[in-house]
Formats: sequence, structure tokens, C-alpha cells
Amino acid sequence: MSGLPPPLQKLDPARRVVLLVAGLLLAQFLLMSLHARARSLGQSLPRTIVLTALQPLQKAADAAVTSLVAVWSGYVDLRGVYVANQRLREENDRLRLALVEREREALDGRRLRELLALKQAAPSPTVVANVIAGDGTPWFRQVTLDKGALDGVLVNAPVVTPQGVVGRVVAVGPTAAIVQTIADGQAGLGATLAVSRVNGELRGQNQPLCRLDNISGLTEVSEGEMALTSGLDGVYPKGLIIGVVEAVERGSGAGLHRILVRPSAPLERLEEVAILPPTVRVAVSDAPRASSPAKPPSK
Amino acid sequence: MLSPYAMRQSLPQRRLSAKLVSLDLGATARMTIALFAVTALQTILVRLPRVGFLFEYVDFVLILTVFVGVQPRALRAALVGMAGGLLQDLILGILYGANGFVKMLIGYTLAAASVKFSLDSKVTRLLVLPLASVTNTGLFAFFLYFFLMLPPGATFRDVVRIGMVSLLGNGVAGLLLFPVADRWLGKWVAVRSNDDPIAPRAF
Repeated sequence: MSGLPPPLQKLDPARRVVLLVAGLLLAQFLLMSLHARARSLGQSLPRTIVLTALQPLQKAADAAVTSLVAVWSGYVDLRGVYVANQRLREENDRLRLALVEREREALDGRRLRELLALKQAAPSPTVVANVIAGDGTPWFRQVTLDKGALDGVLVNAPVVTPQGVVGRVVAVGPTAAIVQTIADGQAGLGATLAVSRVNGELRGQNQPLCRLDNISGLTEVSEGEMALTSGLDGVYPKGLIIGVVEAVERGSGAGLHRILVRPSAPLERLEEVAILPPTVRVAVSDAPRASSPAKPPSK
Repeated sequence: MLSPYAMRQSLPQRRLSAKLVSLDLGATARMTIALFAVTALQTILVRLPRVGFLFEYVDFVLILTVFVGVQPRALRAALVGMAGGLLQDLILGILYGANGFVKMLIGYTLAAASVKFSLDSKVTRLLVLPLASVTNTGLFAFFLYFFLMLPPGATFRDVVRIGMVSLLGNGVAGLLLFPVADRWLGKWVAVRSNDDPIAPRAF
């Protein structure tokens, strides 16, 4: 105790503990305040260390659980049906991918892209990763992947499955990455309705269904219509499948529709996902000005 | 001639294999391993098919904090709560310090209370756990709200619902986990009669 400053030495041990605990509580309150202001702390060194330290444990446990579930599903419970189901699912996934490609080509053709004259990023390889853990709370919807910066994963990279969009990478460690799914209450992305071609904002609700906001009550929207990414958020590329409209509470002329969308990706039972290269944000100042011919001087 | 007892004593004892597998870990090491294990467990169990969502409403770090907190060693309980909470915060990445603050407060309050009231029994700690669970949910939600991190659209009703379900989840999990914690940590966590209850020695 000789190392303590003289005023603290006079205090009895119990009071010193109270002071220490109060100091630590205050420090954590300040940390909260700092984190709330500086969101970049989400990708901090302590977090990277914890993610890296837990990754082997999570990966091993997930492998064990997945193997057990696979054994149970594949050999004990409905053996033949399971195999056929797997084959059909794979075929379905393949067809869905083909469908997405066709829709993308039809809806947002190359001609429109050229007209927009956006600079395309150098294509990076897509990374396939396994989901190895969840966030463990009812407040948020995040998952941990077993691939990280060493595999080329970057923050804000879109994460997809053959069925649809999963979310975006919000933190990256060397061997693990955290993905905020589109069902997370703090997630939002630009969405376009495939038939009516109106843009809205899709928001997670920490529930199986997401909310599609800002769709005018004058727009004709029907259940079963597909929602695609609009690309306007600068994170997700345009034309990826988000989900289908599950319910529409019609708005009036002045009011907006209340639309619920069921994500196509199986967000509650994700296993393998693909991490796309991050979409390049194009600032207004970056846009090429050649397309808008400069006016000659009046004189 | 030797008595049967003496003969038995003279035979080699067969405890070698048991000693080979037992690790002589101290309290700090055991507590650190336990914290990492429960934090990882929390993120793994939610991935279980069909029943995984139930584990969203179980807070293993809180259970461990209560387990340590019912012993009258305030600093130890506070530090365990803080370390576990900060680990959760780092995994979640939403608001650093929120879980650390709440669990430290719960650990310290419980330990300070147990100086005056004996909370360290199998029944009382099960009664204290739901109370700690409600406090945990309420304070965490308050901090999310205070720092504008509460998911948009979340209402007071949602907070109450999560609080009630967590109360049940933590209660049931505590019923199962306290005996395990007794076995793994009990000897190291229990306070001896000659210990100073709120002494600054953490472990």
C-alpha cells in the first residue's frame, strides 16, 4: 500500500474499494459516451483481439454442432427425403441465381450504367465464409463469420446468399468478421420494388420481417412483389434480391404505405455466405463531367 | 504381521492418472477461463437449430457475476462483472462499456449487500438472479436509449417483454449452471471466515 498517494493511504480498505469501483464506473460511462460519438471505435484493436481470440473456439464449437445436426438430419431423421431436399435446394439456388442475373440484366441494363458513367471498382474476388456464431442478445441481429482481413474481407462489404442479401460487414478481425444482418434494428438499405419500380428504405426490426418505408400511398404495391437493392445506399450493389412483400397496409393519397418484407435469405439459420467486394461510393465530385457538355462562354 | 489397514496403506496409491489430468489453476486463471468460456458459449448456443433463439434471453456472464457477487468480496465481484461485461461489449460492438457498467454495478451491489445479509445459499442466489436480470435488462436498455443506440421502433413494451423473458431464461439457466459453477469455481470463490469482506484484494 506504500505506492498509494498519501490521501488514499489514510482511507480504510473498504472506502478505497468504493473509490476504485466509482472510478471504474465513471470510466465506463465516459467510454460509452466516447463510443456513441465516435462510431469508428467499432473497429478497434481490443475488439479485433477479442474476435481473434474467440474465433477458434467458436469455429470448433460450430463445427461440432453442425456435424451433430448434419448427422441427425442426414442419417436419422428422414434420410432419403433429406438427400433429395438437399439436391432440390441446390438446384433451386442455382435457378434463383440465374433468375437474379436475368432480372438484373432486364431491369438495370448495361446501357443505363454507361449513361450514369459511374466508375467501376476493380473486381475483387468474392469470399465464401461460414457463419460460426451469433451475437447472443435479443437487441441486435449480428453474426460472426470465420473469414477476416487475412482473407480479403473489408468493412462495409455486402454479404449475400444465393437466396438474397444477408447484410454488411461492420467489423473485421484477422480471422473473423462481424456482419450486421438486414433484420438488425439498426440496419437500413435502399430498396426498389421490382414491378412498381419505386425506391424506398428497408429497415430491420429485430424480427423475421423487415419494414419498407417511404413508399408513397399512390403507388400500386401488391403482396408477393419482389424487393431488390436499389444501390442508392452506396453499400449494396443494385439488383440483389432482398425479399418479397409479405403484407401491405395501404396508405392514402397523402399517407405512405406500411409494407412488411420477408427477407429471402434464411437469416435465422445461416450457414454459408458469400462476401462481395465493397461497393465503391461515388461522390458527386467524382462523377465524370464529360457527359454534361460545358457551355461555351457567352462571349 | 501388518494389519489390513497398514497393508493397504503400503500399497501404491492409484491417483497418478487423476493427477495427470487435473490442472492446478488458481482463482484468477479459473475465473478468466470461465469468463471467456461463457462469453463464447453465449454466441455459440444461439446458433443451435430450433432452440437457439431461447439462448438470446440467457446471459451467462450475468449468472457468473451473480455467482461471484453473492460472496461478500465487493472488488472481486465488481471486477468479474466488469471484465465479463466488457467482453460482451467488445463482441457486440454497439456501445462499449454498457454491459461492463451494468454488470460491475450488479456485482458490486450484490457483494456489498451480502456483507450484511447472507445471500450465499442455493435458494437465495436463485432468488437474487431474477432481480439482477431485470436490473441488467433495464439499465442496458436505458443506456441504449440514453446514447441513442436503441433500435429504432423499439418501445417500452419491447423492453419489458425482453426483461420478462430474460428473467425466465436466466432463472432456468441459473438453476442448471450454479451447481456447475460450484464444482468448478466454488472452492476458489468462497470467502473464508477470516477474510476481510470488502478488502481490496481482488482474488
